[in-house]
Amino acid sequence: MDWKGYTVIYVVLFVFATAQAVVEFAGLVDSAYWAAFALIMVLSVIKAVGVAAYYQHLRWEPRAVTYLVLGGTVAALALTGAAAYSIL
Amino acid sequence: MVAGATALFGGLYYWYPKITGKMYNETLGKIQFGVYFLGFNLLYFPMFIAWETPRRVFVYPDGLQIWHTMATVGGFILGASFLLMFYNLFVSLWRGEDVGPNPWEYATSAEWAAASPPPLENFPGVPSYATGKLEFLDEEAVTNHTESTPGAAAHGHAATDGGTATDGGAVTARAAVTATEVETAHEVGGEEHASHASFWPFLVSFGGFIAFLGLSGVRTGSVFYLSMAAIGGVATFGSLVGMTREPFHAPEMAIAERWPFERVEKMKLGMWTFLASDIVLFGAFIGSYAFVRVAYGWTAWHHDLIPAEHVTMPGLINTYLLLTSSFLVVLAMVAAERESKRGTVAALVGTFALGVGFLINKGIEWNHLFHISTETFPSGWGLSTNIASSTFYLTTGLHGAHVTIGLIICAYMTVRAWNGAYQGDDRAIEYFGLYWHFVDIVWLFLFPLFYIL
Repeated sequence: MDWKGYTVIYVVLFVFATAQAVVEFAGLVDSAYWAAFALIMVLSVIKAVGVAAYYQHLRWEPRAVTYLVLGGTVAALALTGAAAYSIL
Repeated sequence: MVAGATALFGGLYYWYPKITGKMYNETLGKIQFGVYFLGFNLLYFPMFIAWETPRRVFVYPDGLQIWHTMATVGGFILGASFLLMFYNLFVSLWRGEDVGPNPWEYATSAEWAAASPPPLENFPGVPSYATGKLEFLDEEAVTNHTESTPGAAAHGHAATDGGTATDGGAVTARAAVTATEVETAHEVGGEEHASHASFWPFLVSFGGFIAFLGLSGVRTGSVFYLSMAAIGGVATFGSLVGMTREPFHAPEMAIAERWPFERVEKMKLGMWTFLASDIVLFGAFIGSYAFVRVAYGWTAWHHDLIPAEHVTMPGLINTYLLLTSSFLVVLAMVAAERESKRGTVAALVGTFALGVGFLINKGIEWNHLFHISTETFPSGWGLSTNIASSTFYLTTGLHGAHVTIGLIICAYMTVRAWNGAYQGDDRAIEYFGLYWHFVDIVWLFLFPLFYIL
């Protein structure tokens, strides 16, 4: 990937971050909390995947590296899920 | 659980002669086993009867008194048995009889074939049990074994940070992956790197110990603690620099299996493994945040516990700063690939400046929140004002610590780039970038969770 491709990714990330704040500034967090929650978290996940796929080059690495990272993520989620058992 | 620890002490007895080259008093060892066995069972067996007595709660039904008393006595006996063990093992260090390679009649595994204590490069060849008993294969035999698996002989030399190698034997790992030449780990290790031992990791942990000991008392404002933190910090950093100056070689045996990572460079794989573990670290912090917030009431949390002064803007600015610095690391990589020294240095300096800006912005924000004075929070929103403030400061603080470490690495790399490193070989910058982008990704979740929602 050359610098032009990286720049496109950067612009997209920048716009998405702004969009998240706009969701709040527009009052959506107050009027429709869970819709705003879903929208903002989805934007965060897209941004994270974008950074990992393009800036960290996971797209071009063997898929096994992605699975390694997903393993860490699953472990973190499993820990939280197992703990949540006591309050949910 | 302690049954597992028992096996651990058994292992200590078993390998003590191998580790030290000395034999201990076996009779005393058997006596310890007896005392340990007695204490262990006296301590833990009554617990099967006095169960449902939670730890640290010393209120329990009267009828269980006898079992608790027995367990207490057992605990002291178990503890005393360790005094015997430590006495035996420490005294034997000086007075024990010297042992040869194998003091045990029936031990046949490979470690007992080497002298006690084992020297570096302990085996005269590659250990193999292919014929049914232990043999040491020479180079030729290994070649015969591995001829059927071409490409398995990947090996590489590189300086620790992936920059210019100092051992003169630079083989880029990308090239090495396709190499077909068979070279045993023993040969590589024996000729160029007589010793794999390095004292830097020890100094790093020692410096870290001093630094954290100092940090633990920094809030007292005492000069003693402050100077310990400073000296420890400098020692840690100095040892890390020392470690990067040392040639780093991880021998890779021709017969080793790399699946499913055969096309991933070792250093990069190490970096990703570290990052996966860091995901678990941040996952624990973010997970506990979600846990306490759900337990409190997810939506009530924001209104009850967080002051109106805790606004989105500082978080948004920091998001922009980190995103831009991530972009600059990528540009530094592109510049290094194109062998533009000026571009590399400029991009790294930019990364550093934006990271510093992030910390300054965070410092201003924290300072503001510490000192707000509102109706609900008359004396500020500090570290221990409520559960929301402590999770906020703890989690964003952990992230800030990651940024700080990244900045130290970035500053180090900027100096190296200024001196001409990385040109035409952007791998070191890529590895640093993996870390920096990860810190960025974490912030992409902290920002909405701690600022917007």
